[in-house]
This record gives sequence, C-alpha cells and structure tokens, in this order.
Amino acid sequence: MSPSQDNHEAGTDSPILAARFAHLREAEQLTAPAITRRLTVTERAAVRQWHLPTLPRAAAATAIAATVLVLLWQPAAEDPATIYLSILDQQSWSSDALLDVSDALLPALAPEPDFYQLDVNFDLDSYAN
Amino acid sequence: MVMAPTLIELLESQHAQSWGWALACCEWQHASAEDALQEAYLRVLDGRARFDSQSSEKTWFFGVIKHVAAEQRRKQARQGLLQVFYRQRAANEPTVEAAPDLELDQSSRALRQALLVLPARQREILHLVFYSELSLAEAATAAGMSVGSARTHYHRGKQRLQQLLDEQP
Repeated sequence: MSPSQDNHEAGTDSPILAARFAHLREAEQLTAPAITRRLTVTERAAVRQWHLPTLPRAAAATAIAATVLVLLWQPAAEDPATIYLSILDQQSWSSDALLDVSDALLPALAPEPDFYQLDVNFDLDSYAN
Repeated sequence: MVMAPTLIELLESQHAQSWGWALACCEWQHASAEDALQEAYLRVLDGRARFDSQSSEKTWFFGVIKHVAAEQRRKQARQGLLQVFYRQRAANEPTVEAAPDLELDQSSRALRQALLVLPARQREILHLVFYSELSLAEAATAAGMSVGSARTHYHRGKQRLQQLLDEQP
C-alpha cells in the first residue's frame, strides 16, 4: 500500500474499530463542557508603563560574588612605617650606608616622597656613627 | 489584537471534537481535560499560540491541546515528586479524578480501557484517525511526529487494540 493510499484509507480500513470510536465519540461529546461565553478577544488598552532594567537574579548574584572576590584578592599594602623602622634598626650601619639603602629601597618600597624623605633624614642624624 | 473571525468560529464549531481530543490527551480525566482545553483556548485568544497556516486550523489546534496537556502532565509529575520528597501526601488524599464514565455503555468503556493500555503514541494516532477522522498526515502533524512514524504507530496500535478488544469478555 502506497503512503498516499495509506493516508487516504486510514480509518476506513477497520470499519468495526471506526464504528466503536464513533460510538465513543457520540457519548463523550455529550459531556463536553458548554462554552458559556462566546470566544472573543478585546483590544487591550494601551497603558504607559515604565520598565526599569531588571537584572536576572543569577546575573546579579554572579556580579556581587565577583566583586567580593576581586576586593578580597587585593594584596594588602605594606605599612611604610614597618620598612622605615626595619632599616633604622640596623644601628651598626653608617649614615652613608643607611642613606644608600634608603635611597635604593625606599622609593621602591614606600613611594611616598614626603614620608620617607622627612622621616629618614630626621632619624639619620640620631643614628649616625 | 484582532482575531480572524473564521478561526474563532472554527474553534467554537469544533468544540466537541476538541473536547474529545483533550480527554484522550489527559487519559480521560475530566478535570485535567477541562483545564487543558481552557488553557488552549486562552493561548489562541491572547496570541501565545499563533496559527502559522502550515496545516489546517483543526490540526493546528489539536497540536496546541496536546502541547498544553503535556505541560500539565509534567507539572503534575513535578508536584507529585515534591509531595513524595516532603512526605506531605495525606493518606486519605483523593486520587486523580477518574473519568465519569457512568454515561458510557459497556462497549465505550471497554474501548477506553483498551486505549489506556496502548502506548501513548499509538493511542494518540488511533484517536486522531478514528475518533477525529483525520488523515494520517494530519494526525502526524497534530501529534508532532513524522508521517512514517505515524503510519507505524497506526498499524501497530490498530493490531494491538483489536487484540485487546478481542480478549475482553
């Protein structure tokens, strides 16, 4: 049987089954709920609405978590006073050596000219041999 | 939104047939079938389901009903799982409403019972062909399968249904 013929004859090749289905159909369709109102569609009135951009919850949670992680991963800045004291603790150093060390290290480790220039110069006098 | 009056008229005129198809999609549970048919009408009316003219209106609307009924089944299954998970199912909770088949005679009841034994796809195709009198191609479109697959389900389902009906007293 060809497909087209098959399609055409589907449902008619078993008259007994077709009759039983027709009987069931008649009985069932009597139980169909009534449509109490005619199916109609009314035009929805245009209402001006302000739509705030909303971020999906998942995206918002991801953004917050990423921000927290970035903040937590920031390396802690070293306290310049610690560098200053650790250098000046070397009391055996000469003032020249201390000046060399401070000139070499302090600009890189504590790049605050006002801080190390004033304090180091002041304390170098008291530690000079 | 303006709905073509012909489509609305068609929906109303084939309401009884749509009801029969909704019953079959919901395994003859009246409450579920009513919900599915109501939701299908709503989807057509508010534009969520749009007729694309790729099939007949009847076939297309049957597809909408099948889709809605499948969604309802999945939702009920999820709710059932949650109830089992939380063990909140009351012992005396009424089971899903069975079809009120008191108005059916023995022959129709036997046909329903036999259809329920068949795999869902065979049941759908047989119902669309014999009950709704669609061609195999239309039935395949409404059921969301290829014509070849529908043809296979049709022949296997027909044999199995005949066998089941013959076994009944």
